[in-house]
Amino acid sequence: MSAVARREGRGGDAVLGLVPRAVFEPSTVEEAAEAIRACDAEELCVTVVGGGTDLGIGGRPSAVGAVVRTGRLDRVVEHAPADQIAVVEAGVPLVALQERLAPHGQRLALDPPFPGRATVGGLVAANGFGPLRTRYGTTRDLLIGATLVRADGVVARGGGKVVKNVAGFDLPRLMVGSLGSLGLIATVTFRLHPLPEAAETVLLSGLDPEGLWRTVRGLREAQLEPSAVVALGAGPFDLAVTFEGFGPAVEAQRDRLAAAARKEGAACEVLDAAGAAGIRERHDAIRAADGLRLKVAALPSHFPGAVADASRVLGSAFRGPGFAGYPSVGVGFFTVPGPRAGDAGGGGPSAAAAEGARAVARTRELFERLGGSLVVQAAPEAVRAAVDPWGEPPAALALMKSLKERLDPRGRLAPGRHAGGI
Amino acid sequence: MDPGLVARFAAIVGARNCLAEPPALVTYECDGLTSMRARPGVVVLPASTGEVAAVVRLAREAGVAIVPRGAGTGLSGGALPVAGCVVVGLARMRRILEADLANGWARVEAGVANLDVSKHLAAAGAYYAPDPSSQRVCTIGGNVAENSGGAHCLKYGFTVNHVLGARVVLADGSVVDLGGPVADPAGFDLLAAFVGSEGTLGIVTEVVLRVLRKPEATRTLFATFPSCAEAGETVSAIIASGIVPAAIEMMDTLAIAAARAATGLDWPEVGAALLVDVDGTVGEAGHTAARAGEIARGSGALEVRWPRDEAERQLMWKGRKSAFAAVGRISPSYLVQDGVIPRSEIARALGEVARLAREAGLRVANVFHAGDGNLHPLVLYDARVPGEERKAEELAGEILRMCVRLGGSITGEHGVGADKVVYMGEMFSEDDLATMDLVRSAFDPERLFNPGKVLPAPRLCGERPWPSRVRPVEAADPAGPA
Amino acid sequence: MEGRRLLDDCVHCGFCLPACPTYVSWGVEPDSPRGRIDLMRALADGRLPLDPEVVTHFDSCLGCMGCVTACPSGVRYDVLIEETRARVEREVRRPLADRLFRSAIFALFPHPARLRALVLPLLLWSRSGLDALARRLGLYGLLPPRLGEMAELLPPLGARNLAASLPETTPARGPRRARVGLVAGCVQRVFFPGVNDATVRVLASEGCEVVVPRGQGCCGALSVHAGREDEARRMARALISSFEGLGLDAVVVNAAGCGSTLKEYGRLLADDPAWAARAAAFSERVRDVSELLARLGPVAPRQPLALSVAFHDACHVAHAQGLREEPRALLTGIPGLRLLEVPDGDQCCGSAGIHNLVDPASADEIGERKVDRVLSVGADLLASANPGCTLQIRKLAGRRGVAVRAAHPIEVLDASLHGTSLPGAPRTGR
Repeated sequence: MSAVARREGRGGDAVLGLVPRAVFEPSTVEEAAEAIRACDAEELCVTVVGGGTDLGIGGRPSAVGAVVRTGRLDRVVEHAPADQIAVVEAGVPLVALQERLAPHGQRLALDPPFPGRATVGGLVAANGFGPLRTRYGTTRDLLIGATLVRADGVVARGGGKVVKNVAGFDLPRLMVGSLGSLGLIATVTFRLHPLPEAAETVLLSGLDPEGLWRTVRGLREAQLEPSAVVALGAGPFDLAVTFEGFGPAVEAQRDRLAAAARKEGAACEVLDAAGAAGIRERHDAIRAADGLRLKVAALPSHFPGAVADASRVLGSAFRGPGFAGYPSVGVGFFTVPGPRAGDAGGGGPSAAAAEGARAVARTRELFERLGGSLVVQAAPEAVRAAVDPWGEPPAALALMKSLKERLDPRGRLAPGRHAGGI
Repeated sequence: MDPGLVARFAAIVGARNCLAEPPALVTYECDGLTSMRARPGVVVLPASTGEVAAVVRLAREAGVAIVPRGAGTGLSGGALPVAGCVVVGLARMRRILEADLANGWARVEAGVANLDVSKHLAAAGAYYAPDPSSQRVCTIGGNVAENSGGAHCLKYGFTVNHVLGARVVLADGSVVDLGGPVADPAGFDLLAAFVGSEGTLGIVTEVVLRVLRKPEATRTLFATFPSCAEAGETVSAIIASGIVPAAIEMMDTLAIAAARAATGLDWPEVGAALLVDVDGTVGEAGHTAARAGEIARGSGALEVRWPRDEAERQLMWKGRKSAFAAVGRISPSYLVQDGVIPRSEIARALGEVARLAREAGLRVANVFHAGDGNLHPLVLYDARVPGEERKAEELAGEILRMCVRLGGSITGEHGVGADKVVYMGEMFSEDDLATMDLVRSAFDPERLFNPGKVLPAPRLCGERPWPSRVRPVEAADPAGPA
Repeated sequence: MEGRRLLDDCVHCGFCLPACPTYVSWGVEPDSPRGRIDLMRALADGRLPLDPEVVTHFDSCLGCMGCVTACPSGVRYDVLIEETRARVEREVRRPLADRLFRSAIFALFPHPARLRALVLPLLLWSRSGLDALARRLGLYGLLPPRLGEMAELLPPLGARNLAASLPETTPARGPRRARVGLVAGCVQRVFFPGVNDATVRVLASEGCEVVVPRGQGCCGALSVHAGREDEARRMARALISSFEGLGLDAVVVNAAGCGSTLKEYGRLLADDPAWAARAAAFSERVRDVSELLARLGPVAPRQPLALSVAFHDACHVAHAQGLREEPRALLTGIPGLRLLEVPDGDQCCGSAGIHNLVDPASADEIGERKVDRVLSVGADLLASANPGCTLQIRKLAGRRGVAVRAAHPIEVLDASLHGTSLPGAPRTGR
């Protein structure tokens, strides 16, 4: 058995400013287990790092004794095109996986920003997603199996390699959004989808919140089946609706939407490939900004109004907050490019930070009042210090703690990062 | 059960909804899996979450095991009582509490029948997607417990993909809401762990369901084949072509005969048949249906039929959905098996099933969800012939082992229950199972809920653990351990 | 034994549960078809004694046979429950009050003459206005439930009920297409004589010569459903005798419960060597009136009726005889008539033979659901092919102050063919 690669932590390994004592870079599941066992023995708290794109989600770990980088877990273990499944090691970047699948006319229906950096394991741990969530859901809906390394170094597998399987508890889905606090995700198995034959995007612009909701609801009522519905900007909104599938059917949907929009008097444009790529770039740029990144959620009917209000609140404290969201799902992101997101207001950095924290808190109120939520995914230090990244503790906090105690009794895995201080 | 304890249960749910007389208890000895039986100590039928919580608290105080039950249609013995336990039936909690169609969700009580949700929403053009064959009967709560599938989960996913939230009574009698109608609630995805936990983590009393808009068009085709090989090849070819059908169901000669007997459909005597649904916008459904029809012809179909109208379409599906129980018309007894294989291996797997059946000297009917490789071999036998039942059980077991060998699963939708606990070790390692057990103990440290299901009892690992096939005579122990 | 084999047909799938009115009401397994079959098995295996506790679950069965329709395995629950009830009648001694009440029912309902004798005092009672007053004041609620039930169920009565008699032979209009005998029914002939009149007229217009044998008695349906087999066999033999030797192409019946029983005479008398063949031959020829007319096809011209009609499936037509299209066809052939379906139409109304007399609370609970559904349709008229259902639905709607106008489908067809007036709305209860 080969020994896992290990070195001293450096500045570049820092997690939210915390430099680890040790960095492990396992290249097999066994080595990953060895790394976790070593941390357990040396009483080092562990943060697992994939592409590092979402390390800011939630609280700062109370200690980062070690970082386990998954980058060398980089094999696509199996791709069975006829079965439309792939078994992938955690450190495989999304784009590398998609390049393996595309020649077979398949894809993983997941399109978050940073596909070049984001790893499949990280996407599961951080519950990453992009516009395709509209139709295909999140990693939760695509994940059919996983291997994880428990805090005590034991390797456990859940799920399987077939799309339909109800044997045993759903350990894989339990890992979705767990942020490395329940175990290290070593391999994941996904169900795949066919690459669409054709895609068409319609851009509606200048929508007010009512117009946005009317349009989104109208898509449902008209029985159109877009694969992506993306709102950009928050006052007014631009709305990009993408249809995918077989050629004529996709064109028919495109034309129906365009006709309905024109009848309503909305500004509407059918985009060519370059136009659609431009929208995609705009979306990714907003999503990727990490001076400040807030994830907000509400019921779709409440969502446009809340986003418009929040946009005004945040605009008073931050310079030009961007918005990218998925109004048919009721989830979106407010972002401000970094690193000096807190420098907007007058009166020096501390006053600005206080103002920023107040704006985030007021935005959270807007969403929580509607039964929604706001989670801080990235923020200037001062804002992070003043605002709980998670907001109201979850109703099932006691149960979460009970689960954490069983799977990580010594609290080694990303302590303090998850909701409720777990 | 001690009459004093019964009286305390009765005080919670009302005397009429607390059953402790032997005749009533006899009718709760098993669910849809009749080969295993045990008599509960008492059956309670609460009407509210509060009553469920009170029942759980009392059971815990008395140290009595709790077995939740929906409509008792499960085929893995998930609702099999533990002798002397309290069965908590949710059949009286069947209100549809609210429906927010604009936002695509509805909140229902756990005892609502699956199909009743869609019926309730039909006028508004919406429906609940997972459609187990027992959907007229089976409850949403039971669906959550089993992570039920159905014919149409090929495109739309399983219960876990359609449950947004659940109100759950935990082992300490506390009530907690997991998830909800708003996307991405903070915290671990405990709901994902709960769905499919087969009543071992708690009792679900209310469920928030994702509600879909009906597709604009659904096209159905029925294709017949000389043998399962061509049908299996057609399934692979349809999937490979980039079509995501709503459903692809396959039936072999015996299953077709049973469906014909139950519904009077004019299905021919052929080696195999596929029933395929494609849906979407009118353009999408028309295009994909035509393409699927061409693929079937190109792969050796004898005939491709399109239903003339909705009534005929419904009848075709009725034939498919009745086929299971209808096998009772062509065999005195049968076992239903549920296993999964990679969907590219259908022809090979069915060939193996046929070989195993020949060796065992038994007949096997196949009616199953071909699109996702979910086999449902029905092992036909005659319980009156000594030794045949055991032979049938052994054959069913061999089929499961074959599924695991091919890289599949021991259950695609019926659940592990009491029936397949013994096979969990063939699919998972000791460490895998121990990790699942940690999850269980996080919810229910005393293992009050549905003991003996899903996970082998740790101390019995490697043996044939609880409960062995309890015969009616052995189970007639109304006193129980309590 | 046949019963044991029939029990083994049940695979415990539970598809019968939502089709069972008592399961839908109470949600308890022992009061469902699957549960009752479990109990029958336990009795057969000696795991349970046949005691009054078990019997309550068999008694609660309405005998609607909704489960038979729902069962994918083809379990003959109808046969099983009848055999079980016969065994219960033989072996279990019921409490005194129960025995007396059941005897009273069986002393009255299967006897048209006795029923008719009861009608005169009831007619006077209803004409006196005291009935309306009693209904208004809810006085029937003060009677012991079962007696109150009987009084409250009664339909509006007229002098026609007293004089009811049909011509022994009615010639076909136009060329004769068939010669048929009509079973007049007990409750039907006394409480709904208009239905028999309409049946004769319609059959004649559609080319049937109609014979109504004098002296025909009760078909024994109520007795069969209650497990009183000997009594039922006696009645069956008598009825068969009165229809033999008349050169009939078919024996026609317009009451649901009677029809399903007549079709089962072959099985009822199968063990009687002297009667088995005669009974089987008789059952062969029995047709529901809608079934006969569907086979003959319409010839008489229909006049338009501007009417919306909610169709109620009587269990003993739809489930026991498997006739769903035929009774609807009587109505859909009428120009201008709009046929509407009652939601959950496969559910029983709770009347169920004598069930509403012996267990009124359960029957009402079930009936209330039916009334909800019937009223939700908002039709001008309810078409119901069984007198018991009509009485039950009207009674419960009446309690809500809603007058449900109801007619047998054959009466609606009669109105279209002959311009007869349809029955009006009844008085409401309170």
